[in-house]
Amino acid sequence: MTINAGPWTHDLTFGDLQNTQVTLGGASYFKLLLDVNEPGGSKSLISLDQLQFYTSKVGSQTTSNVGSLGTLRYTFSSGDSVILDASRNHGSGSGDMYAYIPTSDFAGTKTSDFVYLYAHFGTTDNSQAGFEEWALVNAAPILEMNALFPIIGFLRWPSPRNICGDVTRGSWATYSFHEFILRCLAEATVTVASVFRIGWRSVANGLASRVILRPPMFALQPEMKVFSGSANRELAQRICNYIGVPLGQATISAFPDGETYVKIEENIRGRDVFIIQPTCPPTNDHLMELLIMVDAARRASADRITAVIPFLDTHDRIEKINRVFR
Amino acid sequence: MIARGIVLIVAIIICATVGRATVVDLTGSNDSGYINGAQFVFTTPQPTGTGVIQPFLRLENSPVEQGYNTSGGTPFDDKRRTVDA
Repeated sequence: MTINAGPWTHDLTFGDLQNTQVTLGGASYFKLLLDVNEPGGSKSLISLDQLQFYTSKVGSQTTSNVGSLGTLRYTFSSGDSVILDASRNHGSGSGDMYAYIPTSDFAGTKTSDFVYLYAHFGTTDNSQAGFEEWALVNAAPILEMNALFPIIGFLRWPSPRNICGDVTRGSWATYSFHEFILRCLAEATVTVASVFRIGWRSVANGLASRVILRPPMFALQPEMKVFSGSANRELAQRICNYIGVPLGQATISAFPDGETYVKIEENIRGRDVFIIQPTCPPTNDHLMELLIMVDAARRASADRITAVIPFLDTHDRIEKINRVFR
Repeated sequence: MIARGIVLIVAIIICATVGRATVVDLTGSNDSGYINGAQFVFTTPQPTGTGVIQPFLRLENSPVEQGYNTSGGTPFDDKRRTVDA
């Protein structure tokens, strides 16, 4: 079995931690998010019995002697613990607890130094199943190219299931399309504000600011191609109309035996491809179509492929399946 | 007499040490608490938009689990991506 560096556990630098700095009651803290996953019922409790932070000039350490990781910056005392109830929040991935660690504990640490968070769970209340995950909460979101593309916001706000009502029923009664897009833009504009050195407050509060920011956002994505599956072409077309990018041409039909046939009708070699496809009912058909479109785009040598799934119907089940195979 | 005094002092020190242990109960009775200057606050599900959340340590084991973030290896119960089996 080969173990490679994965996305879940990795080195942190003090610079990474500094991005989470917030002020509470006049004091400065680093802000982290803990997400716990436990069974329901009487087994939903889990205890965090030790939390320590170390800093070191040496990264990627593998020692089992935690005390040798570096300079101890923060620790629980003997007997200290935090008791959490995973059932208070439904599902995983969106957090259960914020930990605010005083920045003063890290005095003298250099930006390039490595930070190690050591955590121990289960002594007071056992860990039963599922994983516990620590994450940084960035005060200013880190720039990613996808963050400049507002439709990615459909994945983020307010939640896929809430969006389902708008998308699959074709009703924009809850949120007008215009308002909906602007709300989705809000997340991206945080990043854009930092790129263009525009005050976040003025961007967040001003509709005009968002409109002004729109052209440079897409000027940075000249290689972008947007395609739609058959689940909701109207949504994809309206998104493209709004952002001023033509909807890509793709033929979606079926072979005589009923299998889905997809042909990308444009040259997408080296392009940044976005495929919009909600997995609303019939879920399996739409999901399979999306996978075939991704495969077609990959075979056509797209540089990067992003599936935009406004409504991910099988999300919870996929999470459970993933846990089985972890 | 001196020995009794020493025992009493030790007992007081032990009691004081035990008494310092803090349990922050976020199961419903309270939504926040402090341990050694750090604040721990229960939160309802939070938006995890692009670039906002950066996971860096995942742990999984039962009945106890421990670990620290590193790119170097898996000394404890931290989870990494298994690519070949």
